[in-house]
Amino acid sequence: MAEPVVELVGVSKEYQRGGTGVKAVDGVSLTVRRGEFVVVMGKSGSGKSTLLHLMSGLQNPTGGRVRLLGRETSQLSDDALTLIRRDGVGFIFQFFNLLPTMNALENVSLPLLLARMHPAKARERAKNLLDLVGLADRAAHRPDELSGGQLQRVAIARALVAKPHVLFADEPTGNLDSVAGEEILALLKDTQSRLGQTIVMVTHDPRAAAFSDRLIILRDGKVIENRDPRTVAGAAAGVAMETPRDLKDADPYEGSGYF
Amino acid sequence: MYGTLSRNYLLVKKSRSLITILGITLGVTMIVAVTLTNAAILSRYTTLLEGIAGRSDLQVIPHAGQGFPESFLDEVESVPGVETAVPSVFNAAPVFKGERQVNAAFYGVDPDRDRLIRDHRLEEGRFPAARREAAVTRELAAGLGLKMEDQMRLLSTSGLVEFRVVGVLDTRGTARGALGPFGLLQLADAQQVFGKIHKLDSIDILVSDHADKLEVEQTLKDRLSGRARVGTPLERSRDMQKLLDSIIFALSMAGSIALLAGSFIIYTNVSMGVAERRRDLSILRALGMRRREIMTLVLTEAGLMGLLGSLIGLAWGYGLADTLVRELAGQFLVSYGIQPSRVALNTTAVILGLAVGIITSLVAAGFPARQAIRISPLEAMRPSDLNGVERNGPARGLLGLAMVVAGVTFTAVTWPTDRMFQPLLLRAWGMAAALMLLGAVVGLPTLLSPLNRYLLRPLLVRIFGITGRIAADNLLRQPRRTAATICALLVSLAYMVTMGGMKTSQIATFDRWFEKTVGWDLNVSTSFAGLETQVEMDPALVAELELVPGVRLVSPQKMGRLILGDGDPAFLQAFDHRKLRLYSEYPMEQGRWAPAMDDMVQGGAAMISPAVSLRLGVKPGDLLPLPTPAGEKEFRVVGVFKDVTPYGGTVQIDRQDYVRYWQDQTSSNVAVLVTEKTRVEEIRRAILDRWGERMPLAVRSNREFWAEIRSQYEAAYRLMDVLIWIAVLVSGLAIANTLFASVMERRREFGVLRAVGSRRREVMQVVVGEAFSTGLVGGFLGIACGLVLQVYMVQTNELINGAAVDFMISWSTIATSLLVALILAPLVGMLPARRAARLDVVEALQYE
Repeated sequence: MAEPVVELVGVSKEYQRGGTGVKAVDGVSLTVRRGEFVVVMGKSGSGKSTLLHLMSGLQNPTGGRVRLLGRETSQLSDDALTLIRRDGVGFIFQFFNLLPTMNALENVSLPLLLARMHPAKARERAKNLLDLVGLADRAAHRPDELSGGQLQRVAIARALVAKPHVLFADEPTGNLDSVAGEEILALLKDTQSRLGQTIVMVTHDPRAAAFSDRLIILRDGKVIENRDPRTVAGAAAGVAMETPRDLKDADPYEGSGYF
Repeated sequence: MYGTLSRNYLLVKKSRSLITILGITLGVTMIVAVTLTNAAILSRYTTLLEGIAGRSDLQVIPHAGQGFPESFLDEVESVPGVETAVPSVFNAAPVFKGERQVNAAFYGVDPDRDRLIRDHRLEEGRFPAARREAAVTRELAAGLGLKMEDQMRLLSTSGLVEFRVVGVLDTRGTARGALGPFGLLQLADAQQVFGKIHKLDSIDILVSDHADKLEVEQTLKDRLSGRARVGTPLERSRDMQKLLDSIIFALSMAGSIALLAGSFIIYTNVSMGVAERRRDLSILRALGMRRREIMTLVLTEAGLMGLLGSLIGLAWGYGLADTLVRELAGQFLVSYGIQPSRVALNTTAVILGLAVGIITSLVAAGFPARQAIRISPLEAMRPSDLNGVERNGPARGLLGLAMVVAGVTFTAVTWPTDRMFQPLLLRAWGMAAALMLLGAVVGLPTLLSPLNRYLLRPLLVRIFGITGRIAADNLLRQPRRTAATICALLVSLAYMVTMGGMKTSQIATFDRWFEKTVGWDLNVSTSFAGLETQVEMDPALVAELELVPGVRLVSPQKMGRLILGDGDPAFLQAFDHRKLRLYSEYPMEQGRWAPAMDDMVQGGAAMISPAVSLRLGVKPGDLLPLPTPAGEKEFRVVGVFKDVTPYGGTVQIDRQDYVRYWQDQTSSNVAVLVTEKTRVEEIRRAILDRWGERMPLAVRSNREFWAEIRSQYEAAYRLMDVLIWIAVLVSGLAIANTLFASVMERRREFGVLRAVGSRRREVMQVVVGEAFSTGLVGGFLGIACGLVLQVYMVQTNELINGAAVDFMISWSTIATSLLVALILAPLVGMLPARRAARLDVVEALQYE
């Protein structure tokens, strides 16, 4: 069995709202292992985004323990957590959150530059990543010159450029049309298959389940399903079944040449 | 409804609203203070003149302040229609009792005759009826601790003279409180003690009821034919207005600059408010609010803040005016015998303050309000990505350029080549300057992009790495707002550089001029401080000075004001040129010094300053008509010399001509040369000892005199310094404010930066870097604009008040401005930077 990348043990997150405590996440225990593609689904307000924030160390739990890359997040200083995020974690968001003053290539190289990598080297690596997501010819374009699908590809490239141990995706298809959404899901699956990239994705998109190795369904902050989607009846989770494309024959991770 | 919506928003954004209000407050404060100061001094002067003039219909006064012959009285009385003519003599002088000293104004009158025109009311005692008797105001009595029948010592032209207090005046009479300490003497007594024997300073005239005043005035003018001025009493207040004009102009400029900086704050704040509430506003639109109503909503908020800021500004302006009046009084009103008084709020100032504050707010808010009405109701329904980059086409840049060119062209076309500046033209130039500045504001956003590419980005990347890059680029996100902030800093620093440069230039020019022209070792005058002595010196005293051991040469110098042919005042100097040429040499602009001196010694010649040459269009070789008590006399102009006195121009004639035409032997001060320079201190002591108790003399060495005048320059600029720092403060607020806006608007972006691995201090670097860029651009542009403005001020100064100024760069001011720009900006940037660094990543990421 592959090593765990994220481990949650009895994790809770309570917010104070209007004087009363609201449990967004309630006693969740789960493990994400290297190379897994985990999809978290649930209705609005089920706590899935909070769960993602807890797993990625953006927030600390009010109860239980979160271990990210072998370190317990609540024991870390803000700077240490930032460094873990910078070096070991990648993020993609519903609103692509690219810096509008930078072109695609510059946006992708940003995390490397923040980590003080030599600009030429950072540029080289960012180019490879843009190539990976199929946007080599859009490197010099600014965000306002790209389509939604392209923007999300740039965001994926930015998330992958620092070779993260785990990629967290928060509704990555939420702001895309169905064709672009499907392309993004396929791209994520592709990175998992080719690079062995660990991915945790929170989504509403029913097609996403089909791309995942494991589907976690939340309701009222509690995990109510946690299994391989290919073994779950679509009706149970409200998920449309679809067999993922067979990517087994794609380039192996080591030979990718992207890094 | 607007009220409720606006009030709620303003209350939620308390600190920002406060900053906005403060911005307006500071601007309005200065405008109101300047208006009130002007009004206070003028009304004080007018009250004074009214008090002096009493019921008189017409007044005869000298062209120069040295009085005219008593015989004019008979001539005036012989004019048909003149019912009563009342002579008087005026002089300010120090009075002493024991250790106490009060500077007071004294009138020499014939009490019985004078009461026909003026109300003198006695609180107790009687009017002076014999020699050496005086009636004084309660204020003067209190100042010296005088009681009825006490003796006080008054400084006369030849020494201290004892006067007995025989009456205490009710200040509601002639003095009306305007004069402050004030005393009445017998006419003959005053003529004698002030060296005005057989002379008068004024004849007040009552025209009989059946005569035509205009006709009487014309007849008087014809009879006196240029030997004295004839006019209504209040015409004299015009002289004061002229004097005040240049001071008020400089102060108004400071006020306008603070207000301008304030308007930039409003602009950034309102546009920030609009940006922040795009969603709210689009919801309002979706719910059915019309564009016009959105506009009203935004403008209501700005108007409310403007109103509040203006109200506070009125109160502060009132306080500042009080200080200003005192400062100005200390500087030059003393020589007009005016005492500073409490400032009174007037309707003009209130209306002006409110109008300026509110209109500025509305205009500044107009631009963002226009953006607000363009918000589509659809935006409420749409999620959004990070804010994009506001694009600026070349059109704005061209418009800005056109405005600058228009301003420059206007200035160039109207540049006076054959006349002095008129106040109207000065104001038009002020507007042209405003147009140029507005052009810069409009054009700057377009300029920012190349500036960023070639200067800021490379620089900041070098300093901060990638965070510097992000910081530099952020300036381009909202180029208009950035430009407004930069402009706020730019104008205040430009003003700082200009005024610092002017101060340095004026002092350096004065220094050089002084070194060359003032060659005497000691200067003797009566104890009044400053250039203008109030009590002149008797010729006997001057003769006696020559007897002091070690004194090599004694040269009496006369100085006073003179009304030139164009009706405006100038400075009159009467020197003994046979002596002057031994210790002085003026820098000449036209003609040569030595031959000019030969001509001056011959008499009938005059040397003039460039301002007089310009005003009257005379040059060397021309004849210059001067009004004298002996009628208009023509003097041949033999040279134009460089002048540093700010009295609108100087005319220098020889003492022999002065004595002949003005029939005046007194002198304002005496230049003394000693036999051995090393004995200066000893000789000064000897002079002081010789007169001692007899007459308090001020004996200044060359260096002391220089230091005294220098300190007057510095005092004048000290006030300016306060105003400059207020403007700098406002611009600091503007920077902090804009950065707060930029942080709040881009919180999601900061969230992303944090999520992808920026540490808190790197986020701070982004904001501080942005502040630094603002400071850098504002600082350099401000210094550049300031230097240009200084060149312009140097060029115009001589045309405004006649004082030449050589252009000098004040490196210390430039260093200060640069420090302010490069330190103040990042410093005030720290607050918003901390806010950005402390943002909760998750909340920031979810922010829309």
